[in-house]
Amino acid sequence: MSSRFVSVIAIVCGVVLCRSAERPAFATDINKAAPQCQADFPEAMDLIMHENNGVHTAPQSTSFQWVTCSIPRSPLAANATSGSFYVDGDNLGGASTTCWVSSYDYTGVLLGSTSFTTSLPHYDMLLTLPVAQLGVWAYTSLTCALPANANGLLRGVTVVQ
Amino acid sequence: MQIRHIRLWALIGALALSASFVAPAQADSINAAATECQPLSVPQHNVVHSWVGTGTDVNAPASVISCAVPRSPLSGAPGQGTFEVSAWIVTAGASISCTLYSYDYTGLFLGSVSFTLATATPTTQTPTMVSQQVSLPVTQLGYWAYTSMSCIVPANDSAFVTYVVSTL
Repeated sequence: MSSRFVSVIAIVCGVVLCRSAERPAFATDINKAAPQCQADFPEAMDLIMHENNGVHTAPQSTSFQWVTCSIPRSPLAANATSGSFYVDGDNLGGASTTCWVSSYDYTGVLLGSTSFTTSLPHYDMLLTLPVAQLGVWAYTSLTCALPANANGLLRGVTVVQ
Repeated sequence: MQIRHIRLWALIGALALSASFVAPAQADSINAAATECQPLSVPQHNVVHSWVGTGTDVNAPASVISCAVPRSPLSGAPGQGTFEVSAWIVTAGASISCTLYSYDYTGLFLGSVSFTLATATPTTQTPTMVSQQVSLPVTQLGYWAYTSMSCIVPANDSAFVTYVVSTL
């Protein structure tokens, strides 16, 4: 009776042990809004507007403008095969937004990048990089070409484990 | 012998179980320095970024800035999300007024909370660091929500937003 009980406990604990190895505590999702994104080029600094709900080009901007945002992330879980990023925003009047996520090793080596272009009025785009391009020590960033004349709002980026 | 073996595994399993409860995923907090805050809505060349955070330049007027507040959305969250915002008060009596916003990923406004960062008394010796803890109910912090914060930083280099910590 006693040994059966101990066996059951051992099995339950074994299952718990396996599950905890599946997703360690350090792997977590992170949502980051876009107000911190910066103009890529000095001459465009006054053509990028930061709002509480995102970033867009100035009304007087006659062409698309580049911005780059840091993407804080936590290392992938041990058994993960890829990492994903949701990029959210709006396009107005048929405008188009292009974005890509880049991953750099801490040494500065470009590990990989992935991109999308969309004209959807409200976009929620999923980008994925394989685990080989998202090392434990890798840094990630988001670069976007925002439509001219304030015709697009980049809301933010969420790292998904 | 076999029973001893099973007991040993039970002990190891129990320890693993305990450890998994001690450090659950919801323990994650995110500390963000406020050095990336940007002028809100219009170009403002009076806003400066320094090692201490974001504020105004010497001889510059008060300005409004916006800061991203990175957060980790986690299951099993408590009834509210807590944020701690800090400021470096350079000039006695200076203060910073802020509003923390939450927007769904669709752009829908979910909620906000306003607060002021100031020293306990205007005569407090400066410079000094002050902190304020604020919270939003979990209903205003959906899993995919983005949080940001706007602050009015006073003129003449007199106070800086330094960092924000999100805990959910």
